[in-house]
Amino acid sequence: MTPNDNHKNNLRQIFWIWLVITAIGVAVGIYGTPWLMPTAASNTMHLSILTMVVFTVAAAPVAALVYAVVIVALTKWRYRGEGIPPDGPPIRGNNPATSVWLVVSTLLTVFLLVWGLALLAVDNGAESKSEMTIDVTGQQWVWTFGYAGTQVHSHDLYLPVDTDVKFEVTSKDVVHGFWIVQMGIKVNANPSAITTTAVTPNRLGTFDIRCTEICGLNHAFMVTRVHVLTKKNFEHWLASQPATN
Amino acid sequence: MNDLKTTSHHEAPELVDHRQRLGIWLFIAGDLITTGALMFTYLYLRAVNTNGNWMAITGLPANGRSAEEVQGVLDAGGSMQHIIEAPLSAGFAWILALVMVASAAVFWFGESRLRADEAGRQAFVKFSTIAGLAVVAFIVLSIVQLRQVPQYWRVEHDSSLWIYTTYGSCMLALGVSAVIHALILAFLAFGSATRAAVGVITHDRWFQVRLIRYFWVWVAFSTVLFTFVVTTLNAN
Amino acid sequence: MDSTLEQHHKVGGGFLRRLNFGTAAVSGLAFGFVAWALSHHFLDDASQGFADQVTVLTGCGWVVGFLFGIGALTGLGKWFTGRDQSHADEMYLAGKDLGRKRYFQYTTDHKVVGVQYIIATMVLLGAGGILAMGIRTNLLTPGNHFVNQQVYNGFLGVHGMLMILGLIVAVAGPWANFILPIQVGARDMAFPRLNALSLWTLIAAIPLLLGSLAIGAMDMGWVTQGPISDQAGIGFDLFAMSIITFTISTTVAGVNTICTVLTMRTKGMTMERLPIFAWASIFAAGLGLYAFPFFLVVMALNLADRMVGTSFFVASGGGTGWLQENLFWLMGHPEVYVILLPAVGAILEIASVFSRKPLFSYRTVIGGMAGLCGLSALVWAHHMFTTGWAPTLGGPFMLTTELISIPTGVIFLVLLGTIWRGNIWMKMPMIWVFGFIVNFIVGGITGIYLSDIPVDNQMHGTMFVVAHFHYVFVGSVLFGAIGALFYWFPKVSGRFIDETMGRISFWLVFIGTHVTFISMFVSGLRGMSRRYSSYAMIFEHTNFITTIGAYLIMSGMLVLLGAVVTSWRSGEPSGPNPWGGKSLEWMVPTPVPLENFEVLPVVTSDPYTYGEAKS
Repeated sequence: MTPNDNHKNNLRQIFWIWLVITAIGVAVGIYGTPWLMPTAASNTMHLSILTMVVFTVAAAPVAALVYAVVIVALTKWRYRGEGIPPDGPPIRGNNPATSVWLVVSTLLTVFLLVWGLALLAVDNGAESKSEMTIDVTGQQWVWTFGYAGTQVHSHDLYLPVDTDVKFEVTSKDVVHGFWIVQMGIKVNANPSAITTTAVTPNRLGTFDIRCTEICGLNHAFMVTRVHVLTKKNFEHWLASQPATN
Repeated sequence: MNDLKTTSHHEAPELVDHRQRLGIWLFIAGDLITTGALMFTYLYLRAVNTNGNWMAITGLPANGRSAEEVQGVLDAGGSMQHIIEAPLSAGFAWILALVMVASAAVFWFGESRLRADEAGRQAFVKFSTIAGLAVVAFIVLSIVQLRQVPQYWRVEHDSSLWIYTTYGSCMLALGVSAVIHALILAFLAFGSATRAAVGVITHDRWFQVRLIRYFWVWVAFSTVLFTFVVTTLNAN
Repeated sequence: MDSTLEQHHKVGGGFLRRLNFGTAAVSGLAFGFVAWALSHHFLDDASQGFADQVTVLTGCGWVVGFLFGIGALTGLGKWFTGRDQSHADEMYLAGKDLGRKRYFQYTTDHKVVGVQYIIATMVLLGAGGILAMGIRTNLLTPGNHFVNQQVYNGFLGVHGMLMILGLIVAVAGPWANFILPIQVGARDMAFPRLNALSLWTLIAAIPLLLGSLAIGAMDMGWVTQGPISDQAGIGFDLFAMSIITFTISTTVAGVNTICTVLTMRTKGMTMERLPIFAWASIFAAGLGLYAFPFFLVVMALNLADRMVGTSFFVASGGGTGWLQENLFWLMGHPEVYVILLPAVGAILEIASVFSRKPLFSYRTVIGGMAGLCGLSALVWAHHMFTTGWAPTLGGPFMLTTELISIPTGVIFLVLLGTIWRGNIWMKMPMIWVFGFIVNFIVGGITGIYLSDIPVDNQMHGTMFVVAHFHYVFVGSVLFGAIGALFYWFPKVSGRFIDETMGRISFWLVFIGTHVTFISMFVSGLRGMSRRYSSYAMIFEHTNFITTIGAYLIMSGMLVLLGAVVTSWRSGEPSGPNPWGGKSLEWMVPTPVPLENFEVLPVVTSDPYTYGEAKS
């Protein structure tokens, strides 16, 4: 076999292995990711899941290439003799390969960046238009929610569906992390500061809120629930709550 | 015959000096980052001014008092006040900076005398000692300034505590950093003077003195820089 | 008066001859006790920082005493009084003719320091590993059945810090000390006494860190955020002291490494003929020099808040936790590349030797490492995307973080290019290299997910992040460190580490890594927060699997430990160049003579001349 044939063989084998692994990776990305992630209860979360899918699909060929070379190295190029192997070909570089690699990785990076910035703009846009504001206060080790414009406070969060909600988050003691798991929003609660995030819940049901910054002894138990109700039911619930301070 | 060498055996002094100079510059670079981090802290806290507490606080002045004394004041009916701090004396800060710069200048002058001729060694002993004494004066004055940083006693929720404003906190940190650097310089100054007196540092073997001078000039420079920042950018 | 000739033959060392690890420990305890007693007596015990002041001063006493007791401070004393070391002193300090004793003393010979670092690394990673098993055992089922949550929370932070310290030194400590000077053709490091100082300072820091666990749990992770750090018991003060001590050690070591490579190269060893491990070492050292001062400052400010009531991170005095987070991550991100680069350097060396091929595109990989270092200083706030700090800076930090994937990709390019069409020699070092490649891709790609702010809004603070960085730290850095150990162990000891036990340990660790951390990814994807001592029932299965995987890793590491210990004495003899390497360390005999080379070599090419005609 001439060196050129050998070279083509290498590329061909790597190509086929690469193709198979990419296919697997794309399938995992498209079907596995959403299956593993929580049900989306907001558009923000839906877009996050979509991003995970897209990034996995984009990453699959990269990982596949690496794994394909590894597989060929371990099988075809493996030295099976005794003692120190003879020297291999003195390849000190390959300008076309390096250039292609750099260009492709740059393009991928730019794509990821543009995608991320676009999504960020969508999420930030959500924050500017809000129909209701919730004051979130974290303290060791409980969340308290205040409904702006009322005197109502609760430890479980209640939200009306399809409403743009803005959260103003603060803490009474140390830094906590406010996270609505199924809605894909998270922001820290800092003492003497107010941080904001926003979301539009689009699914009825009960979802999880968990603290994500270690805040002391009972950090693991600083969890609560969010109940997304129809707008009418939410109004009823709000009206039925006693005013607390 | 004095066979003691300040350089590794088998190697030319110039080669060793080249290596040591790179070492001191790298060390200065690390110190620069440390200094930068402190500067960042000062400027950031001043800009953020959480709760307006950069140079203001609600509490009782507590400098020089023990915890029991202050508690006694509170028990007797005294209450915490909202206090607005004045910046520490700029004049005093500049005197400190001046002392540090002068010490660097004296040491450098001593180095140049050492390198000029054989008789310079004795001159260097003198100047290095003077520079060391100047640094000791700097340390004493720094401690005086540190003790002037206002401290408060404050009761909140059901606990009571000492507290400094963030401005005061930064001045403490900068002061302590200055003292630590000055202690190192004092060690280097008196050590160099001794070594020159004993004859380890001579007109022909002066490389280490230059290394020390590099560090000294850096400390002087950063002292001036800090003094400038804290005397111009304080109250906001 | 003695003539120089007689001085040459006198045994040097003076009272240093009596000092060793034991006297250091005793002296440290003594000074610590005195510091404790004095501070206890003289400080105002009504002040709220009293306990912290006493603890910090005790910690200082320990460190000063320990260094005094090992003889690290005699150099300072001698310098001050103008009585420098004689040649005999220097030879004594270098451990000439001292046998095994020299490993327990303040020895300046870089080869001794390298072996001492191997022991220090094993202690750090071993202690961290024990805590990891404590953490995972507690998480086998929900409900804190193994330890209570106070203990668990305390385990978290110290596990993290032990492992971080262990990994910072895992490759750089042993091999940038033992091997690097030989690789550049020098007789020792640039500053041999500082070399010993950096090692013994590190050793002084370790009991402080372990002690912090014993005297007062701190439940704030290894990032010790302000203001919650104010609430911790006095264990935090020892924790901070250990870090401050460590930053001194690593700064000294970093300066030493850079000066060695830049100024001690032998004739003909231009920068372009340096082994890639040397380049990786100086990049890592330089980056560390930039990053660790922030660590020093943030810990000092934390201590100040606790000891004297300053308000750096306390909002009620005007401070802010965001300052702590910024300072911390200004250190914390470059630091992961300080950890990664030496392992990558070792991996590249091994890849070249065990493919019998030159390093692919030498200049490109150096450019990649340089790009990695430069960018790493600009990405720190990606750890703060969800803190609410400076939302407008989110975009720029997302940009810099995504850009880092390009130089990281370059490393893959060079690795794969080096392996390409090589004669792959599957001995133990190379097996770990392939493990590295498989794992690092996962670690790198999952990092890219996290760099995207909307995804980070979901994933930050979950087990997804934990799995990501464990794929990098365990799957990549640890694999690289173990590969380096298998690679250079014959140079140190003249024996191979047992190949069979090595393979068993590899498969246990490799499979264990995937079992542990893939199930951990799933936990995170499903919504499990990190640093939780207990969890909701929906995470039960994945946590169970994760713990099983952890036990697999532990078994593999124990097998590895056994292999190293038995092979040290009775491993198969290897000769001076068992791998057919071309860098200078393989050209010297084993055991390596005290001054490395009889005659300093003259170098005419880089060590990657595989397949090229000999000149």
